[in-house]
Amino acid sequence: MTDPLRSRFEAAVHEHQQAVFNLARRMTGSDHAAEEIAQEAFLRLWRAMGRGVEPGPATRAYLYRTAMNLGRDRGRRARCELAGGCAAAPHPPEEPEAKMLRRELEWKVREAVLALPTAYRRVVVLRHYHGLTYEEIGAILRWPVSLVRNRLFRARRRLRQLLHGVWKEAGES
Amino acid sequence: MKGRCPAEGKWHALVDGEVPAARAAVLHRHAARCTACGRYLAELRSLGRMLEVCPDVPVPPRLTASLLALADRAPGGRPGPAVGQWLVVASLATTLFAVRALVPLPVGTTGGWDRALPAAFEALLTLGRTGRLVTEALSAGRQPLEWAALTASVGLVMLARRLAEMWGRFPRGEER
Repeated sequence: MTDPLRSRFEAAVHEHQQAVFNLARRMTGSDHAAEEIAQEAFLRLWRAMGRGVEPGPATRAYLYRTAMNLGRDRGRRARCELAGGCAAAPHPPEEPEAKMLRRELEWKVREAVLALPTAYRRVVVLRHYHGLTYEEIGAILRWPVSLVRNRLFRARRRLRQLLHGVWKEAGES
Repeated sequence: MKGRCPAEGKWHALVDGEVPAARAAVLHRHAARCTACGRYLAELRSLGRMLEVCPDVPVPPRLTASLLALADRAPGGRPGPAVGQWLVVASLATTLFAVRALVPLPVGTTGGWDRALPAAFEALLTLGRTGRLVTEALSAGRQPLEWAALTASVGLVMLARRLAEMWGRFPRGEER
């Protein structure tokens, strides 16, 4: 007979592992660190479930918050170990030159996101890569919505400065 | 953008879908006739598209396997005791001891403020130390067990010192 607690944990792993891993990866810039963070976040979830304090519908928020906190102390300048970094994701076949340009753009965007202060990077990752609303971001980071809005505004301003050159190139091409 | 144009934050809220439909329509109409606002809105959208060039990567299969294996860790499929609760208990014990140092000495014993003041200073130091440990334990991604042990050891040292002091301070048995 299957343990219901175990079943619920396995369901949570299948449902959230992708998001937690990618969130940690974008926060740290390292695949290795992201794996460690995902491991620790799910271990904490399992322990919480065992104590009877199962987050339930708030599991996603619990995992995101844990991963964010764990990622805070990691070296943010670590590079992706996977060959090609972001390009490890599947893409349609391209011409070599186009592929090279796209990889360069990916690298610049990733560097710009990693160059943001942690508080700004958090809101950018949650908003742009996880598509969360201001209220959901506020619930995860335990910030008021006004602070989320303000930090996102400042983060975008910083990103526009960091990506200014890329922007111009993209506009010209 | 001019003085009568919407604030920049409004455009951010618009691209994030955080503006009610009626207000969004007003903003769109404004962007259509105001070159500066229209350009700003286009830039914000372009930034969003640029960030999307880094899509999600698939989870390595070994990670999925190790995550699922986490459920095997605790005996019987259940994890051990809540370490965080022990951390709180240890911190409370330390704090109580620190506060105890502030309580005036019992009637009939010698001493007074000359002893209470150094004790109060020591108590404040301990409170600060404990507070820092607890804050670090809760904020950083470290193992709570390490911090619980550290906090508890600070508490135990304080306890030992206080007991030694009290032992020397209170007269015993027939001497009373």
